[in-house]
Amino acid sequence: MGNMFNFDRDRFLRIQNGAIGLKDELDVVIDEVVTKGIKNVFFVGTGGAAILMYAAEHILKNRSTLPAFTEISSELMVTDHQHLGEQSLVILPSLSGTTKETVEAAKFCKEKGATTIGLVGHANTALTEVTDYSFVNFAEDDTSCESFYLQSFLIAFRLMYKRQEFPEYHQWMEELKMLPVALLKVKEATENRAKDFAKKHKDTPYHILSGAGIDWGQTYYYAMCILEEMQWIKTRPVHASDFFHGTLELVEEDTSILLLKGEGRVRSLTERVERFANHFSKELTVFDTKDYPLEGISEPFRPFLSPIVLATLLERISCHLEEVRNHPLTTRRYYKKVPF
Amino acid sequence: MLKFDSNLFLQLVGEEGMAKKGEIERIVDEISNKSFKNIFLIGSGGTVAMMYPYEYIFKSNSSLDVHAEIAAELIVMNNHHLTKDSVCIFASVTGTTKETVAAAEFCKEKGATTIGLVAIPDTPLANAVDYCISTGREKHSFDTFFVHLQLLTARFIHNHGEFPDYEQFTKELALLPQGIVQAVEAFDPRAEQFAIKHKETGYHMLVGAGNLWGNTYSYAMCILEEMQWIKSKSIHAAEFFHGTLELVEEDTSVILFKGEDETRPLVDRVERFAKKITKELFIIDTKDYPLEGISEKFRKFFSVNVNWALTGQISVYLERERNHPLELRRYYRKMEY
Repeated sequence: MGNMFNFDRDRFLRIQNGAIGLKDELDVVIDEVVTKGIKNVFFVGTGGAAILMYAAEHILKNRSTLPAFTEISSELMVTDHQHLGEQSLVILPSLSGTTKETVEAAKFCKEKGATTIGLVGHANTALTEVTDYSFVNFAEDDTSCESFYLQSFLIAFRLMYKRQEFPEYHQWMEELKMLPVALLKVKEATENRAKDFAKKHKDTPYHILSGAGIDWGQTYYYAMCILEEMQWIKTRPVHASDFFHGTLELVEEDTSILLLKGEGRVRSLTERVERFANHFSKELTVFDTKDYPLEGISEPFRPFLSPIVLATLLERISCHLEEVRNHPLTTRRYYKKVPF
Repeated sequence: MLKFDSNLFLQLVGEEGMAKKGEIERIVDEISNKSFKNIFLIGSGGTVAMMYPYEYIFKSNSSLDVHAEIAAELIVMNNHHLTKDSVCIFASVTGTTKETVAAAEFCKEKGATTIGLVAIPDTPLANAVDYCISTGREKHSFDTFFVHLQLLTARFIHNHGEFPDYEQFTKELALLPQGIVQAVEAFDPRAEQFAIKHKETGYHMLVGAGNLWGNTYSYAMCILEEMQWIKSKSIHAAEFFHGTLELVEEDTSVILFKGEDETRPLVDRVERFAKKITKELFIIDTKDYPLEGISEKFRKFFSVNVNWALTGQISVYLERERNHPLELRRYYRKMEY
């Protein structure tokens, strides 16, 4: 086992196994909701929590006929979303369980008659008080991505299973249990690259990040919630397709491009960015989930897991950036410091 | 006004744009009559961003099922909502955008009904779709696309029994180009001042929401990045406080796109914050312009058109001040990749 900087293996495993361990309880609720009858599912959150739900929405969109929406809490409350109603299932993730807009959104959805499920890191918080059901799995900034992805997947795949849209469900759920250990190996395998990346880019003021499909959310998340919020580094997250409709013109020899490659059908889109960037920038960094074995996961299920794998390996970069830039991931200039 | 010919605008967007009303109604009525299950709004880069306001309008006004999708991603994925009962709407100025044309063919193969908005007829997109609505000219084609999308959207929602004021809406839409011309006249000096002041600015943050999120995204990507090679970051007002705010310093250029729909309070909140932190806040607020003949209840739908025309003036002044032609590209359509 390689040595990882500022990392607690047991804690990581405990948290991710904790997320998967919610399965039985979640299944009971989802089954009940499906039996009652639902028309659509909403993922509603604030900032990163909402963005982490894109992957589940993406899976549903491309595998199920159940309409799925991801909405930002504050926007959902001011707009009159015509699909939100009594037959909506609303999933509300908030790590702290106290995110103001998400707590308000939960009340708003309840008033519309929807069934609400809160996903939180702490029991007995404002969100758990107002949702019909809540599920608690302790996590912190360095472990919450995987935990939320896993919980959203448990929900999305259970919904599809109940609707007879995912026959491989039981095998998939068995294999998912192997993931936390496989993720640890991903971290170990990335450690040196992450350290080198952080050292090389400690003074880089701007990164273009690109990804697509199920990985688009993770691309966006890493740019906004980590590099911008926690490191105050300017970023430009751009979908691999949109990259060619504007952002490409910024690329110069020394422009840092961070490309996040997954394994699904959208791989061809990120490959196109890779071909371009290889040609015009000397500062292309590619993280490709294909480089990691993920023991215990069969080939057909791998494309679902790329956002989780990326989140897990990117955490290693954050950890090293914090160190070499001497900029704690927890330092904020404004958030929760300046009233607005 | 620099590079803005009011008469030409009124002719292209007003007369010629609105002249398509009957044709658009016939198309939509024919589709509504044979019934459909959902609507897909599909584009690439700026043209998918152009669809976002209409996705928003559908979602907030209609129970019709609507999806805005990036063309290149749609064709490699297997969207379960896209079927022979879908209506797919595309846009491409040149009618040749590779991914968009491929997506139109893909949707047709699925048996969906396809509508294409193009500037020039008899182009690959125009030929690939069941119904083609052309503006006839590239000049002001986006402004006209907005009008055509408004007619399409309102008619679809009207036929679904959720837009009772349709006739009044289209009557007022016909008055909009005149209101826009006056807004552009009023805004033009501000656009010039902005460009002079910011000709060397290396990074802009653009914030918008609701109807104007698409314009916010598009202005950053298709104008500032693509046409002026200036780094820019578009951020939704509801997301601003969850990351990007930490980048704002005293001299950070923040541009707010303010419209008049339900999401205005979200942008107000960013405004309150930005005013305290940066000296370089620039606000483009559609509320500042009277738009004669437009009722209060419809103004929110028209923010997109007004904002688009106003920001166009910033582009031409940036071009002049920075001596950087808007047509100049390093890479796009210059090589295969």
